[in-house]
Amino acid sequence: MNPPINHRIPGSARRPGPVGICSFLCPLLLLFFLILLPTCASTVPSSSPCGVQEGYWIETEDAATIYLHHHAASGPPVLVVHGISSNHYCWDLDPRRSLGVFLAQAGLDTWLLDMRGHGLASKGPDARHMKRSWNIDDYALHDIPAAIDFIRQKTGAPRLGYVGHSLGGIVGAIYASQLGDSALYSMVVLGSPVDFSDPDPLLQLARHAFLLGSGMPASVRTPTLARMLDAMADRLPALPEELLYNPQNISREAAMRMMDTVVSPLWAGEMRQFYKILNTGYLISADGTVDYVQAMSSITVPLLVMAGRADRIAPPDRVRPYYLAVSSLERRFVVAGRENGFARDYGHLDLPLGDRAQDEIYPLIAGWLVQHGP
Amino acid sequence: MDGSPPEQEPIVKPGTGTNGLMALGLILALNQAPSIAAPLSATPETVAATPDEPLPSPSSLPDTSPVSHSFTLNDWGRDLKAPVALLVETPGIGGQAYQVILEALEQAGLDAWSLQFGPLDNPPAQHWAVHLATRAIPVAVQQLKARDRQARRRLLLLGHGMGGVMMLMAIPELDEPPRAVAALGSPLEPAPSELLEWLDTLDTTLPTITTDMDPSWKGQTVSSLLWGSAPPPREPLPTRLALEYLDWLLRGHALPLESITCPVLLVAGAMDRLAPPESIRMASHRLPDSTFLRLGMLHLDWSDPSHGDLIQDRRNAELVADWLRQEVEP
Repeated sequence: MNPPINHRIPGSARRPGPVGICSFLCPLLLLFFLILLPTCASTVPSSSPCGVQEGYWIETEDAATIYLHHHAASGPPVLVVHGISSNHYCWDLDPRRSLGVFLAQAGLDTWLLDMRGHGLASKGPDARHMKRSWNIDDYALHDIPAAIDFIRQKTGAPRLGYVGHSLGGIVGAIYASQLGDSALYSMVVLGSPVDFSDPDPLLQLARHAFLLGSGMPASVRTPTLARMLDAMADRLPALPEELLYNPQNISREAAMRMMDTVVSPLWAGEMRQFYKILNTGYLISADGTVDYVQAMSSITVPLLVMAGRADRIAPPDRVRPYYLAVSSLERRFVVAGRENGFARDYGHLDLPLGDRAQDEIYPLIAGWLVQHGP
Repeated sequence: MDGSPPEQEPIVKPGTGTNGLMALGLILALNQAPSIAAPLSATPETVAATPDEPLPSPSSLPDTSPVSHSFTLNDWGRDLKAPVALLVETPGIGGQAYQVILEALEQAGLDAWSLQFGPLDNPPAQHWAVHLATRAIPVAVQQLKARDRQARRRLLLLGHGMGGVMMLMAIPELDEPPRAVAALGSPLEPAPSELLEWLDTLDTTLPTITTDMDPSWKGQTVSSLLWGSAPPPREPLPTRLALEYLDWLLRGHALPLESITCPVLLVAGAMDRLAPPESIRMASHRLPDSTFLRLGMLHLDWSDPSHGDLIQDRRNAELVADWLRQEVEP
């Protein structure tokens, strides 16, 4: 157990506050995103558009259910984990936007995870047992070990590669720092922030939204609210969607499909933990006793960290500390932006789903995993 | 002062000759901001800097005896008992590039001055270096204080890009720490990119970089990457200065951050590809009293600023000026 956290945010009490008239409107919009969008996405397609060959419901040691989608190949296994309020379709939206297909074609035996309460995991045999108190620690310390154990047992491989987007990268860090990284041969994380200090207005708004959300039902499924959002969609400024992705980097059609399938409920427990994280500025455990960034120094597995230059959810300066926190001898930090030869500056959701992800992002992931294989 | 600089080999890259495209890449990437039509209304006073004690210099470059680097102190016009805000310009940039932020300082009730390096033939261009030119800053501060007969006014310092880095280097050498400091788009640690690494491979043997062409990198002009649609200016830049700063951007440099005890505002532009936020945020924690501020859409009411937008956008300039003014309010 790590010692209690020392709070150290120099100068945190002295900062300019450039919040204009738009920020009056934005708490409302943010709440719509945090609360209403999961409603829109509560219906998960029953079959993969990308030809998943098999899938498995798996019970975790704390009696929750996760789901694994399998893109089989003969090479070493890879576990791929989605982000917050998302599901495995962020890796498998259509044949052109499928990291699952891409990695399998590269020879990697690829397993896409739906964490508890997300995607098909929420349709499993224990759906009636879903708990609003599930938090980030539960994902990291129960779901990830269950998935890894299952894949190791199924494939006979001693070690796995790990790919995580956003929260998926965060839970990978928590898993590896708390339970050890000996079951992993390599990690790739995309858009995973671990530094929440110096809160900007968006984070301050998110903190209030999480506080509000943590006291609400696990997911809002009111069709009336969803229809209200749909009706308002054309009248909202472009700002909300630009927070989530760079509209120049993902077609409107794909974006609409993404919003229909990729979004899963936010759980009150994870919102409560995120509220604590944003309140302190530190990536801390749900009980506030462990600073996971400090603990990440125990991670030695080869690590590729990617951030999008236009990512407003996880901007590069909040993601780079992930790269700095680990002790891996082989590690690399890549900013997906035009200054590094990418066709566009990547936003948060276009890292896995952008129009050019197949040409610019997936090859980096596959190349890293192959180069740093077991 | 000694008007003849010591013999010193200029820092040049081996190459077959001058490549105008390459030279422009450097000048656009490292040293330029779009020109502004209105001229400065300053009353320049030219002095030369020859500090008694040399400042620490980066280990990557050999230090030399103090070199005279000419500079000009520009009074922006207000003659008040207001606190002095001294803006350290980046060598080679025309003073008009700072017009917006200097005006914002004045409008915030501060007595705005700018320290402009040059003329760049004194010393000859091949002898200009960032760590050597930095020595002018304590001299300039002394001169400003000498003008203030009552010596009651506390000094505010600010700088943009390379000028901000030079300002931070010089602060420990001041007789008295400034009241507060603002650095805009000034990298505290390296954040390499393919574009910067490409610029670092360019060959140039001229002591001064001048060109009227805009190089293309992977189908994009360097100016568009760095400045968006704003037109790039055309001003010469000592090659050695550009290469030294580029080296720092790629490989880092030693800044005495721990010894800067005054309040420091560190401003980063979300789309600044020269000094991106990731080159500032983590290192800002090394400053005892710092505020890190990334400007961009996260603030919900304006777009993501580039390197030049940090000083050209009036809202950004007013934000910095307001912060500085608040630091000197009772």
